[in-house]
Amino acid sequence: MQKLNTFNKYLLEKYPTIWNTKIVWMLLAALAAHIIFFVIGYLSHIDPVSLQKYSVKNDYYQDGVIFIHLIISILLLVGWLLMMFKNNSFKNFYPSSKGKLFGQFVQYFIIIFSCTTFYFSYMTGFRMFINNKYSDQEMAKNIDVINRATPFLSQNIEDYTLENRLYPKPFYDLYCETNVDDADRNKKYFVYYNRVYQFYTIYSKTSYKKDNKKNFIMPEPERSAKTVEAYSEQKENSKIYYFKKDVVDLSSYIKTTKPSYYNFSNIFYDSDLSDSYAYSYTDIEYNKDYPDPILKKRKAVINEKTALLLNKKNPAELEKLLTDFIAISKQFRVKNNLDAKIWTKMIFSPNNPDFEVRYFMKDYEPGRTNDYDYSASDEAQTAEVYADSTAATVDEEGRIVDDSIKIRAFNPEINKQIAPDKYFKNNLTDYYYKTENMKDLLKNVDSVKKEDFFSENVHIYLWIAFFLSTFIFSFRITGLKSLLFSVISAGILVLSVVLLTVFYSFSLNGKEEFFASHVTLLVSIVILLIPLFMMNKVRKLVSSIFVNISMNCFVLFVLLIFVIISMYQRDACGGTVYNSETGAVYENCITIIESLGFMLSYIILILGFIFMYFYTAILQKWKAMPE
Amino acid sequence: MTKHQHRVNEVYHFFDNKDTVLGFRKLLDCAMDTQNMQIYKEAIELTDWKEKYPTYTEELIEKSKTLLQKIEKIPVQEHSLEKSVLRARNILKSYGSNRFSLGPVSVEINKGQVYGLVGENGNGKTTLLRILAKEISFNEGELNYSFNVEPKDEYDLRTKLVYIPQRTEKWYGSLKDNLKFVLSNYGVKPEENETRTLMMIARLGLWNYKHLKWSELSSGYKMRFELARTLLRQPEILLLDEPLANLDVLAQQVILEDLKSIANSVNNPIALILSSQQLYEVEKVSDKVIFLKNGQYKDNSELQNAENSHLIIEIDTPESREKLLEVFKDFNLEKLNFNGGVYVAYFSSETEFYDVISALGNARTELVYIRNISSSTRRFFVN
Repeated sequence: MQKLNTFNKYLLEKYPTIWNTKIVWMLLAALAAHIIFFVIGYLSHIDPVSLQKYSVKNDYYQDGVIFIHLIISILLLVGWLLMMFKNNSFKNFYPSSKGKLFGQFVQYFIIIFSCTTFYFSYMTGFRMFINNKYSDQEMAKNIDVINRATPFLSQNIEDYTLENRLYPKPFYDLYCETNVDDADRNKKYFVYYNRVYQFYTIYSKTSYKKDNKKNFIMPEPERSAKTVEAYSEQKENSKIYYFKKDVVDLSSYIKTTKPSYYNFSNIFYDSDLSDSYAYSYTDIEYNKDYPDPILKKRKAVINEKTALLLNKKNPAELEKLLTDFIAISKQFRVKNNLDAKIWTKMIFSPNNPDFEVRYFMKDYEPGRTNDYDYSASDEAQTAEVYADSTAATVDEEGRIVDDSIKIRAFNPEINKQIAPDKYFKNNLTDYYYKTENMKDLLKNVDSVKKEDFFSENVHIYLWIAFFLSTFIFSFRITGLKSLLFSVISAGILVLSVVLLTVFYSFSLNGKEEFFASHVTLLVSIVILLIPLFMMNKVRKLVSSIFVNISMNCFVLFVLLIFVIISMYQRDACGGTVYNSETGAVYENCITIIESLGFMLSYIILILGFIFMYFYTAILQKWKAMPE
Repeated sequence: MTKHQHRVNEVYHFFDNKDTVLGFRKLLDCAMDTQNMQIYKEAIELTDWKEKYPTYTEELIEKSKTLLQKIEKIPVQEHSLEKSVLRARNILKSYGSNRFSLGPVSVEINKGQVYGLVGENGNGKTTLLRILAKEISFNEGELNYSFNVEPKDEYDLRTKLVYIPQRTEKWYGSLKDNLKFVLSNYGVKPEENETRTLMMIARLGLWNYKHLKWSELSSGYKMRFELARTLLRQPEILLLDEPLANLDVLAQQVILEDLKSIANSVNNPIALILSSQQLYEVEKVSDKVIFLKNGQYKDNSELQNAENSHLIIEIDTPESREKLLEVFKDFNLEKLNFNGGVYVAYFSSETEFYDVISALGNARTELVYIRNISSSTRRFFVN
């Protein structure tokens, strides 16, 4: 206690401004609060179940920690203001210099910023916890086990059909045609109920030409022949088209056309790829018509590992893998009721040499009210009806052709076979595994480890601190009455500009945004210039209003200038581009605001500080003015 | 003999006459002038001892003399008083065509001088003071300042013009901290800060109150603390608005004495302008008194000129007018006014005051109060 008093006395005698703003004590208090939030963040997600939701990044705001943050911030700031307002050297005309006033402003900014940014301490604690508990090494091992075990979690029959197969090599290189209209009945094909599979080699052609809508033109002679492309790859200055060539007979590899474990090639989770797929609701999506080469390679690896495991014909090895998987799931508290032994038996069975998928699992916990039992619902039943019934289609010549007639040409036995969804329903066991939860956990772990939550969020806090600083600074310089009048005047000005713009819009000249922005620019320039050149000609209260508005709104003025430049840029560039593939219309102009991105915020902030430094001379001049 | 030595000798006289209260204050004045930290520390110690043992007068005189000897030896730089520090010419301020207007007023004041500003309420005293402090603007006239160091800009000028209004603002926190804050803002070295603050506290008789809170002080002591804060700023011009307003009779005298003495400091003289209703007290310490009526200016130097040199006497007596006229029948009495409370008698200029007093005494007149106000601005009040 004694030491604190001595230190305080030292500050008072040597650094009166620092003593007045109480920055040392505030920073200490803020540090203590930051430590508390760090600890809260560290302990916040001890239970793995808390990670099994869509995005934990926002837990700070959603789970209510933000309220504690607000209360602590408000208490700190109010306490600070009470202490600081006890003395005011500027008001008493104690000697001051430009640097002294600006130093006060900077101190306000630092104090407010440190008392409001607990989010970052929380996330740092959170991140540290995740790095400790779910270390990179361990997670890499776990994900590998998971990726190898999930092929056996037969939860979706579509994952096990033939077109998914990517191993051995021919499946990787060839293109699998599944469209019944495009398949050649005279060449080798495979059927499963109403699905047809035909494997083609492909050749590619590159196009460099664009039409007047800026879309690439298919090269000749395919364009005239109206050849259907298998798929295409768009690069910056060219587009590569892939066309089907010849059919290949892969019967030696295909033991069964029914869903089989040999066909599975989904990646359950991949740390590297998760960045780009982090926000997609669905899994890491692979579309054979828009194939991503990196993704395809990794999927093939999964396919290969699964196939190799099955070829070993060693149930014990599979059982070990599944045991490990269940252990990991238990560690992560992902709900399931799997048993490794029984599960292995579902796969390895003497009367199932081709490893067809005979048993299916649920991905929800049955019997719980909040898990939706899709298969039992009415929607599912009607969907089934639609799947079974024939769907009339219109082909290219405009003739109405019956799909079911077409498929019967390929698979005459179709009526004797069971539809995939019925097959699924009939073979659905009571075993379940909450796959989504595991996926969410893995995604969240990676997102907390890798995502930069600092760069985006810091801007909000920087600007809150800046505006609060200018507001408090205005109060200290000009007093309460001036500040209140300034707020009212600013409100009236804004209203006036809005009204003027409304009246202008009645003139139907259009481009109201130009009008509004130019009027605001003009008004701002007037407000900024009057205290500089005409301070003596107006009353002190009036000039105090100008001074306050200038200080608080200069940064908005700079932003307005950028906005106006952007508006002119967009106007001058005048063009939209139509992308025929995606069907989207987008603008091809880069405005200055877009090209600067978040850097704009930093630039304006620095300009704001520079302005405040030079403006302190005006503040002194204002204060010295007689009334 | 330098001014400093002169003052030291005065203090010796006071102590020799056992006038310890006044002597000690003057001792502190001399100590302050030395600007020597060692002397300051000893003076502070002595003050502390004095407050602890208020009855040990003999010892106090002993110790004081010892300190005085040390003070005597230290050379004190004198400040030149020749140049005027504030010059206002024909200042005119108007609040509107039908409303109050002040002036034209001309004021010139040197350091070390005390100007009094008197007048009835609502006649522009505060306005004039605020104009001279540059707090409010004026419509016509000139206002010039000249300081030791020319101010860099308008704000710097305002830091040198110290104005204490009638109602001062509350102080928050510790009183001593508030005073030290002033000094550190003025760039005083950290090691001297505490000493100078305590010296000022001792000088203004606040030693027993320095640990209190603002709300615990009486208004007289609040004013003294405000004065302490002001003096720590080492102003060259000091403008006080009704500083005696909340003080008891004794305190008023003491404060005025203090102000005069501080304004006449050897190495840091101040040009002091103060307004007050305490007419006679102000006239006693002021070098010049300005009287404001309806914003119009008169000063007591005008009273010296021939036209106005009546002998004017103010008399408070229960006797009747006839009795008084009887007493004054041999004198050249020009007027005898009675304004319900006191009589004001106007005699021609040759009449001597002592003659009038003799006459009244010989007539066994019952007198409550009698005063010669010929050269006092009091006469402007009773006109």
